[in-house]
Amino acid sequence: MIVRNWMQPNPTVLTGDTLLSEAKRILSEANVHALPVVDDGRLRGLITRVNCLRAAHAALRTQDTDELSYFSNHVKVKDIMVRNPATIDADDTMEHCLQVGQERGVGQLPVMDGSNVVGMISAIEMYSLAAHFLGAWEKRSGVTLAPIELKPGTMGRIVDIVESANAELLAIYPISIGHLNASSSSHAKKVIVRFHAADNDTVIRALANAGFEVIESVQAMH
Amino acid sequence: MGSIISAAALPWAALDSVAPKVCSFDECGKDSVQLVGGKCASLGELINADVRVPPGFALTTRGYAQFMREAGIQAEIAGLLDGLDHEDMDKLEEASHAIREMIESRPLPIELEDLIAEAYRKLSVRCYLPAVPVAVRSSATAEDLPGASFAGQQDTYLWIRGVDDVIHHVRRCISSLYTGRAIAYRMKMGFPHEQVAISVGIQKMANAYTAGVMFTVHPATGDRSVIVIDANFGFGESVVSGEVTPDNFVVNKITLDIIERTVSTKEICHTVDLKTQKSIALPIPAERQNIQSITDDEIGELAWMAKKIEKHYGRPMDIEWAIDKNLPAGGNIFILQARPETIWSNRQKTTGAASSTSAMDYIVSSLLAGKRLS
Repeated sequence: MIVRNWMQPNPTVLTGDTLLSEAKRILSEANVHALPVVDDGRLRGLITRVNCLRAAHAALRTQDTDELSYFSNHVKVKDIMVRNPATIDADDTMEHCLQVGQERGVGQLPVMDGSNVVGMISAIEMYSLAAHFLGAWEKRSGVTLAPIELKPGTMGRIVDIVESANAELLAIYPISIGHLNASSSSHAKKVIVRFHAADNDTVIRALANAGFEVIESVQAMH
Repeated sequence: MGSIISAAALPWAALDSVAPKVCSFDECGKDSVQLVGGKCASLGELINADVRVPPGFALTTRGYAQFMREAGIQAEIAGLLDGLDHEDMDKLEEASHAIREMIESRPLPIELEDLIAEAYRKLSVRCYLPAVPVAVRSSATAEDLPGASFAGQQDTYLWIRGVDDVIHHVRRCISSLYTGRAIAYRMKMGFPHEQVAISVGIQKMANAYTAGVMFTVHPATGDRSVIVIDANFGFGESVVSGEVTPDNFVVNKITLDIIERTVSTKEICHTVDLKTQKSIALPIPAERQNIQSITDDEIGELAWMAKKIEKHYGRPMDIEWAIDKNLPAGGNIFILQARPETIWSNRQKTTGAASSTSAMDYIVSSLLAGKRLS
């Protein structure tokens, strides 16, 4: 789970002197939301499609041909780009990446290897991370257990119950309840279980008999 | 309009080492003169008094000091000035030229460039115009110094657009510390050159239809019961520099009635050439030359704002204003600068009549003394 293995490598980069109209075209063609701006090998900023569109709308709204001509022929990437954007190191973990994105409120992070830009992490890479984790392509069935206090052996018991109900266990992960950063006094966690099974009801009954309350159930359709 | 660039020894020890290198006008007030100079400090003071002032930001004296330090040219400057006589203007101008060229050719440290560019970007977002046009002007740290008025010319660059141009003109404002006259003045007064500091203000440009100055005391008679307004078409520079005879209005400070009205022949105005996006001087067409450049309603609102500013400062003021042509009436009159009026205020101190702080106090005291009001 190192950023280097999840990032989009070798991103297109722009220079600060690129005209904004040119940058807008490149952003559209590359179908990305942001590009790093690099001058003399050094990261100088980040240009986002949102900022480009806002600038274009601002120019259009004047309904002034001279303003439009200035916008098309003179406004440069360096006038619009965000300076000193949030970045992430290629050797950081994806967890750290998610944390930076959350804290700074950004979804586009240039990836640095030393002082070089070697990739980008965007919402697309985040989707891909989540999809891999949740096995989005595998059509899993599953259940969510009501919050419980996890003690040594609890997870093992859940695994035993599910497997003895003739289900093929694929994943089991406890998640904190409430907000990510909330350090709630209770250590209770929901437990999400994913499996292949002919019939969810057998699994749910087995769990209920052992004292685990099921609050969600997903039956995959094959 | 008095001196904007002047130089004075700066007590560096007093400057907090965590003071910002770039700061927004609204974070400034009358106590920030050491950090952002008189002009920017007064703009911050006006903004915080709810006067309508175009937004902007300043490169502080701390940012200036970093530029000079990292450019590494102070030894060279000292060398060029060594042994010069403050009365030999030719030699001084020569040295001034070399020094200003040196300063203007040095790149800004990347940290400062990023700070200025980011503040400029945020200003553009706030004004909702990409690469918003700005005025770049120097802001001195010791304008009130006796004799400072001849230390330099007013460095103001109008209608500057784009990060590159903004940064270039910031450097030009910095280099204005080394005009021949400023150097001579410091030599004469014995200020060390390396201890002077300057701040640079970057302010959204009002696209003025008409602009000018006003005084909350009659500049010719010292009468505090009136407000005197000078106006011409275009940017205020034509009025400030005295290159036209502006329209002149005398307004009663209490009733806001126009009691005197002089519409002059105005032959020239400064405005923007939208094709080249540059500020230019333009001849005014003959049919407009004798038209009053400001409406009576606007005069009323200006006078009302002048009263508010005078009340805030508690002394007669000298105010620059502009009326933006792109904004609707009611929100289009801007104050660009306000400073204490000096000539009459100083004279009144000696006659002992300056104790009154409001116009009404003054008028009442004038009535008691039997003075005719208008």
